[in-house]
Amino acid sequence: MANSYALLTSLNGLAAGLFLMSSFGLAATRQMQGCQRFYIAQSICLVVSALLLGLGLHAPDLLAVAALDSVMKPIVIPYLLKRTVPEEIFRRREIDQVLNIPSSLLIALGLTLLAFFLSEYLPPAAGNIGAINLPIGLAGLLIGVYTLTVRREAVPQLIGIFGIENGALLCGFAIAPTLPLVIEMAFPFDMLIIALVIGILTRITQERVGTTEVGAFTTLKEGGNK
Amino acid sequence: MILIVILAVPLLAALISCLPLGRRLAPAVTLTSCALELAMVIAAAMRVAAGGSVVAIANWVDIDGLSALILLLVATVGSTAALFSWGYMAREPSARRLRRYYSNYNLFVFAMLSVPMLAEPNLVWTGVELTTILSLYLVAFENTHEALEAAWKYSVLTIMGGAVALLGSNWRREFRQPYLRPGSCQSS
Repeated sequence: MANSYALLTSLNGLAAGLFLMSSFGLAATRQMQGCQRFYIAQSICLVVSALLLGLGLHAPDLLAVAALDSVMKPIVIPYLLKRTVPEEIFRRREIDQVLNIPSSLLIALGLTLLAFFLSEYLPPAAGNIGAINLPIGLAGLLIGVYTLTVRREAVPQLIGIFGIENGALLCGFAIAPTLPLVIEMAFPFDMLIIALVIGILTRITQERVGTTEVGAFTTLKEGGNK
Repeated sequence: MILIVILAVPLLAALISCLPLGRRLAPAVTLTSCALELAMVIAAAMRVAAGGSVVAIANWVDIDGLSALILLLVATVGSTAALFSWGYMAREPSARRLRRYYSNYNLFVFAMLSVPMLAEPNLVWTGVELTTILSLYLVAFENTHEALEAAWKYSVLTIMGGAVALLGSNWRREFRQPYLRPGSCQSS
């Protein structure tokens, strides 16, 4: 029994490590398609971690959440994005990020260290098995915020938001493994609606304004381009 | 019971606003429903102020003093904005878009009213996200460059804030007491 718990803990550590790697990928990829693939990889790691925590902590709620998320995050949300966002946007590469890729990676590294430092001061996870989820979920959240800040195109910004949400969920599973199922179910559906709404917003912006480079939108800024 | 009625009125108004029965119907229904909500919210707040508690579904839908205050603010702003919309939206040439605007406005008011009434922190989070999504259509309504820019910035900022708050609501749920690290000094 103790052996299987140790095995689950190590496997969860592996899933969390891969989750962190895909967060780095999210911050460093220029291609929209690549960005989406890293998001899918990150979501799969999230689902695996939920599954392992569910087994380790004997929380059937988490198993149900893992089953739901395994359909929603890596399959339904990318499909919805493909349907709502015009195909040509996905084929683009983002040439001008606010900061270049090596600096982005260094900043992401700094954010990860910050997350490990911060998690020392935060309330602990339920059980030993989820302890690694706290710093890594927090790092995923911070890297998502960073991605959102430096990206100028609509789709990578949107995927940055999903990255933040994935980070928050990775932490959340470890902190509160026994949330009522109704509430856990609300999250994936909420993200689904957000993906749909923002996807449609991106499409309308492309049609009306002719570009989805939202970083260049400065009409509303004081002293911006009129 | 009054809380359930407060939530049901804007939903009903949203449904009626969709009906294609002349340009005046949707604004009139919206204004009436907002005035009705304000009156009911004042009644509920008076009951809370008198020391009673207003509970619709125990542990899920109820209000305390702070919720009553927020509800009052939301209902007041909701009804004044409905009054302002009547004149402001009269210049919209398409009757179909007008109906959509008012229908969405009522749904937005529903979401705003539901937030202070919900008792479970994670459901409050869902309610807040709902207000973001429903108001996004109102922000982008004019479909101009400026409106779309505003909608994009608004949605990205609020959804990002929402994702961070999701983590906070989980912590809030598990640790009702302020958390102190083991070994840290406990202030008296």
